[in-house]
Amino acid sequence: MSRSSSNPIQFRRPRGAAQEQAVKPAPRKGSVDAPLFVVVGILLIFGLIMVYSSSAYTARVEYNDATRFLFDQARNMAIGVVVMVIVTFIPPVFWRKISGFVYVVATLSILVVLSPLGKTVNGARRWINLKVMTVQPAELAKFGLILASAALIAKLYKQLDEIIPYVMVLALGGIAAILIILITDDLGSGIIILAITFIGLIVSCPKNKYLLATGALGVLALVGSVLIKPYRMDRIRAWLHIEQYSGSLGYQVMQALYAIGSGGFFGKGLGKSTQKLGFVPENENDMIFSIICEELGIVGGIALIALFIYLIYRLSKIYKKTLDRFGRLVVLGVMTHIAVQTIINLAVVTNLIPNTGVPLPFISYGGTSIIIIMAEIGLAQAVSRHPDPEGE
Amino acid sequence: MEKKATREKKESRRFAYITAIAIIALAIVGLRLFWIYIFDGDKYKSAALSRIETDSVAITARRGSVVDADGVQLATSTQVYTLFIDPKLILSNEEKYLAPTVALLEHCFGFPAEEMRAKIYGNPENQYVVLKREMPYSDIEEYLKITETDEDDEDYLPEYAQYANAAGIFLENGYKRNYAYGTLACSVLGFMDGGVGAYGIEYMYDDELTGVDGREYTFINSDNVVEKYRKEEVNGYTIKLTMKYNIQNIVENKIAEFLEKNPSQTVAVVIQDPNTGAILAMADSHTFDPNKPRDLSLHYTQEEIDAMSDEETTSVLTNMWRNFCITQSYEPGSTFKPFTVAAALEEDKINVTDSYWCGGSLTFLDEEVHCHIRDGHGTLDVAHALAESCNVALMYMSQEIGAPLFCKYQSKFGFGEYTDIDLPNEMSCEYLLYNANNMSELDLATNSFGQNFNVTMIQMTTAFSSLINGGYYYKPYIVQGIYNENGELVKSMDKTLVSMTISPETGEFLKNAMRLVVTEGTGTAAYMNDYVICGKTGTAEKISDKEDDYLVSFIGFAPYNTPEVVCYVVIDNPSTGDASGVSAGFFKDIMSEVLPYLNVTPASLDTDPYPGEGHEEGIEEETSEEGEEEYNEEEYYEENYEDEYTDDYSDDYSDEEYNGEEGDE
Repeated sequence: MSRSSSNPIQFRRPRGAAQEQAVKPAPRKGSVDAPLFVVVGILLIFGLIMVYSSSAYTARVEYNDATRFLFDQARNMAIGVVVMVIVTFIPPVFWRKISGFVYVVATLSILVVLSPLGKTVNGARRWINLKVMTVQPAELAKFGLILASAALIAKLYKQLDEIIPYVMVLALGGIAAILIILITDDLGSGIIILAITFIGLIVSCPKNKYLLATGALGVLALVGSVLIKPYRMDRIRAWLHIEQYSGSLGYQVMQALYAIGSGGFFGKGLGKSTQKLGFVPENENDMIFSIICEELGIVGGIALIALFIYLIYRLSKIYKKTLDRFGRLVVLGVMTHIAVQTIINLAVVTNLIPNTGVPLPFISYGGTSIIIIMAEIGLAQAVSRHPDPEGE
Repeated sequence: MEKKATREKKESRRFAYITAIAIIALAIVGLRLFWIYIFDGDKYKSAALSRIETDSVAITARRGSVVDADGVQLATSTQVYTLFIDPKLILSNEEKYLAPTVALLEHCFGFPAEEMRAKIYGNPENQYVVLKREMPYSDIEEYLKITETDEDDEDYLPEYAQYANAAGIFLENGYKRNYAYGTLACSVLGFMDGGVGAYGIEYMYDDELTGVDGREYTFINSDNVVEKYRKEEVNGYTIKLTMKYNIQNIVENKIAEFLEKNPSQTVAVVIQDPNTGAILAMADSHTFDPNKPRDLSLHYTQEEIDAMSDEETTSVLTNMWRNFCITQSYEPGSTFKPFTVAAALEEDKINVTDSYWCGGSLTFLDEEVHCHIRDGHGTLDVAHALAESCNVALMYMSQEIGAPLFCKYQSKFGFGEYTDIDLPNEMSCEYLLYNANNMSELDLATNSFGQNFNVTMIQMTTAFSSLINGGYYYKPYIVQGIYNENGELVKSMDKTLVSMTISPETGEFLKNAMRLVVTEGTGTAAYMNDYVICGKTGTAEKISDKEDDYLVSFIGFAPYNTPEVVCYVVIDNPSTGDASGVSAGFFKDIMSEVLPYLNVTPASLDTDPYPGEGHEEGIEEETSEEGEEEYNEEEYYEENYEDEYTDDYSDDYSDEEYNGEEGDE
């Protein structure tokens, strides 16, 4: 006896047009993706340990409290877990309804950086100081854009072979990205936002020439962004000639490479990094992967990469089982966000691309970024619970 | 439907591609790790290791202070900061850094923005351009406030935001030597030259003052575990002098006053405690400010300085820095006479009752040697020979002593030898003295009254102390203790007996005779009502082309009973010529302030062997006050010896013997 025949609810997604035509499935009740929770849990615990390990020295030296970053991060993760669980139990249709609102609020929050509430850290003005906590509007914008572009693409799905709807979707991401790059000078977040929109369009738009034109435009924009800010050119030079720039612009990455190189295959052992002793700047933040490799070796680094690949695989499973277009696109956006951000972070640390600072999802020390990523996992879980089209 | 189906298919295919690309990208990072490990692993590993191993940070120890006997800080080290900028770093992102950096420099340190821009653009490759050295903490407070305040801090001001992007400004800390009293005791203290002590205490006790720099090492142990090891710095020791700030100050002020009235080549003063050899003050007129040791403006006009050649400048500076009192040799003149008399008495070559007839000169080896009174003193006993400073009587005595014994006594008094005072560059004058083999009759004759051989002030003072303290020759010293930074005593110096020079009887006779100098002899200008001053004048003719080139001096002590202070003043080439009254008057000038300060036993509690005798001032007053009876000599001496000599001096000393001698006079 097959499971499908004994169960009135079909769990397998119908494949092919014929089946879809033949069987009009009733809305199914999905469930949360337990392995996704597990892998996120492992990443969080791993991240917490590594934040502690890599920050304890600096925290002790600078704040006379080795656990300062550990407890901050634990608090942020706790908030993130609560947010994730709440979002998991909110039906996607709710998000669809408020997606436009979220997008507008998130995009406007970028402008708040310019107000007196804006806060500068390490010379970059990217934060809003809300007294209780500081918020990074670029992260809010990513969340807002995942919802908004999913909603807009789903709505205009049938017209995406026309130029105007296509450009409308593109403009959604473009506006947010341009604001982020121009106001907060955060190229990494800008690229992630463009990627969320563009990958949404890649899977949804049938017109190849639109996509190719957009790709070309993206390359031009990237070149343009380098040309308007000469320091980006310097970063490219530092990337190409890392050892020549090891005392200046390449210092951070050079130290990260030293950390990876000196960790060897199995690493020096947890807590035994030497490069974290003030040599790798931001070692608990953007550069945490180098400390992981130093302490846990290539084995540890590969294991972490494997966890991320598995995470992406879990998200793709949700994507594939979801029939609701909005839900699917939301999962795709979440996937894009996590994957692109992970790839950029790891590629910077290993000097595969020029330095543009983005945190490593789940692992790096950070407030807004970790809470937003957790909220996005919540979104994916919510979609997983509601795989079929709803409402409408 | 057909179309939609293809689109769905296309969609899932594209999704698969995208997923694959993401996974491949992550896999590439994984491969990159292997790449780094295989191709660059060793290089990076050694770079990381070498970076760690060489990472040690010096922690500068603070140089210890020099304090006077009462703890007054004469030389101290205070933390200062050097401000420098890194133009290369600033220009690495000119647009972002330059404006806020320049604004911050202008706001905090008052550097004009234009000047700073010029400095930054002028040194684009330089990473270390010093803007200002030796800034006190107060100068950097504003800067620290701005740079160390975060936005969420209470005292954050909105205007700080404009400086947020400032970069490339650095502060280095170090220590600056500070001599709070400027020229005071400069010759004794020395100064700092390029971080090392030069001259004086700074040089002599450089090791103790310097301390040991600490260092923080970061290294990897054999288990490949990083360890930090901090070798704590040991701050320099504090050097406590025997010198007293107030006395030194009095002396230096007096020297300055004296020079105002009587311009002289050099005026120098040493004050010593005769019972220990401790130096209480030591000063000469070649002052400098140890805070700026190369500044000649204290003694020369700008035109004069400009006119000097390099060699001249060096010689002028050296002359200014060195301590005249221990490095300058000169012929002592008549202040040496007590030593000749002491030698003659010790060897029983003369008797205190002997008399000499001075006819104005004696002839040796066809050379006529004059007394300072050309007509002669007439008949003089030994005490009056000293009081009147008769050269002829002294020459007779020296003939009695003979060259071998005379030289032996010179050496016994430490002449021609280092006193080993704890100050650098002392001169021994070893080759500026005759020995028994090369000393002619004439040399012996002239040496007897202090001509034709050389001494230093410290030799004279120390030897003189032994004449009046019962014969104890103590090594002179100026540092009484070395303390660590917690104020714990590390090393303490006390009096060091080097030898016995004369018997107390001879000493008492000399004291008595030197009282006569002040009451009726050549040194009446040193007479004071309040203290029983004793001493000996000296006028040395210098071997020089110049007419009237003299070195006048006075060496004296007080009180009479138990001398507490010896003071030696030397005036080289005074404008007043050979008037020895000048030096006696100058001595009195100093003592009139020093003695009350030191609480020296006043005349009312002291013994005066010649009360009310032949001096110009205040004699009636004194005698009327004290009354003749009180000065009954016998009673006096008995008391005297009980008080002071029973404990300190040797047992074989006999009161009667001394009284007998004295009675003869």
